[in-house]
Order: sequence, then structure tokens, then C-alpha cells
Amino acid sequence: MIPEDLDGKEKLQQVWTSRSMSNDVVSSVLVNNTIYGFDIFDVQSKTQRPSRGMLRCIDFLTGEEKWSQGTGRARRGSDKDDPEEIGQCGMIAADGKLIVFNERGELILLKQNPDELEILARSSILSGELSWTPPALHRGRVYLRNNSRAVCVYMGDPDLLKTSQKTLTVADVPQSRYQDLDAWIIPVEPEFMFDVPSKA
Amino acid sequence: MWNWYCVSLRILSVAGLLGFLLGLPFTDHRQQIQISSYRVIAFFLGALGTTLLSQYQQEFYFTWVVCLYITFEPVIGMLRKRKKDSLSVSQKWGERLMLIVFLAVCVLYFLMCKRLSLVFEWTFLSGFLGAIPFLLIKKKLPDKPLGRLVGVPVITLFAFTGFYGAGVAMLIWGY
Repeated sequence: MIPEDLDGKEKLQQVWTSRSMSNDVVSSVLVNNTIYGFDIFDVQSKTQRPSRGMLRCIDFLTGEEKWSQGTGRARRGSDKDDPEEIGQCGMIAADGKLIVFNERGELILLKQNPDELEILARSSILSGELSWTPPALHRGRVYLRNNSRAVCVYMGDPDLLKTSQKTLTVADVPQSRYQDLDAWIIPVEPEFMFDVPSKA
Repeated sequence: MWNWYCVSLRILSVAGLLGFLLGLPFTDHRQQIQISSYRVIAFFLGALGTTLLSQYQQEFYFTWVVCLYITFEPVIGMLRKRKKDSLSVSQKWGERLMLIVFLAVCVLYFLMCKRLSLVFEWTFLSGFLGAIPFLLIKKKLPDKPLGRLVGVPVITLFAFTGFYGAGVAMLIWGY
């Protein structure tokens, strides 16, 4: 952490280092000295692995892991995916909550809680395609998109929504069926030879 | 990668044996039928091997390299004809077709590797250089049945090893 009154003479000290939060195409958030984010367990995301790694909560000051969700088990193909695992996701912090959009296209509302994972709501919004995009929040509306579609979800007080506002329910949002051709052609995890990430 | 190499050699061996047996009943054009059968079988086994073997073994086996090699063999074989004018029209078109198939397989191979995030398998596209010397020797083999029966498998072993080795060398050099 860089002090605000750093005058250039003080030496910076490394407090802790860890490889337990390897983000790739999405980022972590820091709230109240707690980092919430995703550890991909690998050096790069791959399209043929719809979910892998762990969602983690880490104490920013000590580096201590507070909780995690997921097994980190390598798998291949959406049919082998554990639907309970949140998996790789982008998130934003707002109003004591975390708005999470995972790569399976699920919108998940978590409570900012360093003691345990607390899922307040969960809904499949843009299923059928990988979503490696962060959610965006503006005036109670969450904007989500993947390669082919975009959705605006109102998460605010229903009374504040204009009566003239045309709305859809989640059931009305067209979903595509994911054709996992890659996993059909290559049914097991191939060997990868990526450059290893630089050391922290 | 050693496993991939061994499996690819087995595919070539099985295809060679099946091709040889399939050609036996024929008296006319036996050798051509054997070679064509061997190439077609090797190509399909190589194309399907990655999916089927990986599924069966639950371990990744990469056999598409056989398809590259097997479509490259006839391209080198075309160099045998010194006087192109002496070829019939159908032979000329046959050669053109082999060349087109070879190029199409190379392009398809590259695109498939790219699509499937097989990030280093493109290096086998450099394997042709390693196979050329052996394939040139192969076409110089005497046309005696016994000599070919022994010589063709041995030189194919060396040619494929050269092919595979050049791909691995490119991989090591590139990474």
C-alpha cells in the first residue's frame, strides 16, 4: 500500500505476496480492506473451460484467505460444469453488496461479507455463451453483455422505476443454447505451453 | 509428446497393414490400391484419433499430425515426374488435386488449432522439412516387392520421425 504522504525518501516494504488471486479477463474489487475476486488457477482463460478456479475473499492487509468457493478442479465441457460454482466472474461493489456476472452469464448478488460467502440472489441472464465482460452499474441498472447480446437489469427499488418503462422479465430474455463443439472435438484437457506469468 | 508420437506411429502402422491387406486381392494396380488405402485410412485414423483416443484414454492425445504427414507424402511423390508433358490430363489433374488437398489440410489444421486453443501444435507445420530427405529416399527405392515390403515401412518410420522431430524442434526453439 502506498502512503498518501510518500515523500520519495521512504523505502517501500513488501507486506505480503501471494499467487492466490490470479485474475485474467476480469478484475477483483477491494472493499473495506477485503479483496473479492477470482483466481483462475491457471495462466490464461480458455474458451473450452466454461468454469475453473475459485472465487476468493482475501484480507488485503494480511493476505489471509477468508473464504473461497469452487474446487479449482480442471474440467472440460459445459456438461461437466458444476452449476453451484460461481466460477470466473467480473464484479462491482455497491451498496454493501457485490454484483457479480460470471462467465456462464449468471447475474449474482453477494453480500459484502469477509466471514462467509453469502448469496442473496442468483439468476441466469445470458446463458449459452461465455461472458468475459464486467458488469456496469448506473442509476440502479446493471448493464451486462456477452459477444452477441446485451441486457439491462433494473436492481433498484421497484417504486422508483418509471411506470412508462417497458420491462421484460428474465424469462423473456432470449437465451442461446451453447454448442460446445470444442469440448466435443477435444473431450479432455489438452496440454498447454503458455509462458508462465512473471513472479510477483 | 512422446505418447503422441508413439500413437501416431501406431496409426501409420495399422493403416499400412490394412492398406497392404486390402490390396492383396487385386492383381492389377495392387501397389496403387495399397498406397491409396494406406493413405486414406491413415488420414481418417489421424483425424479421428485425437477425439476418440482422448475420450477413451481420458488423456489428451494429438494425432492430427498424421493427417499433415500423410497428405504431404504424395506431394513429394509428385516430384518423381520429370517431364510433366508426358503425363496424361487426368494425371495432371490428380497431381493438382493432391496439392490442393495438401494445402487445404494445412490451412484447416491451422484454423482448427487456433479455434480449439491448441496453442503450440502449429509448430508441426514445420515438420515437412524434416520429412523431405527421407521421402526423397523413399521414392528412390527399387521397385522390387520384397525390397519395398521392408524398405517402405522403415523409411516411413524415419520420415515420420523426421517430420515429428522438426515440429518438436520448432516448438523448443519457439518457446
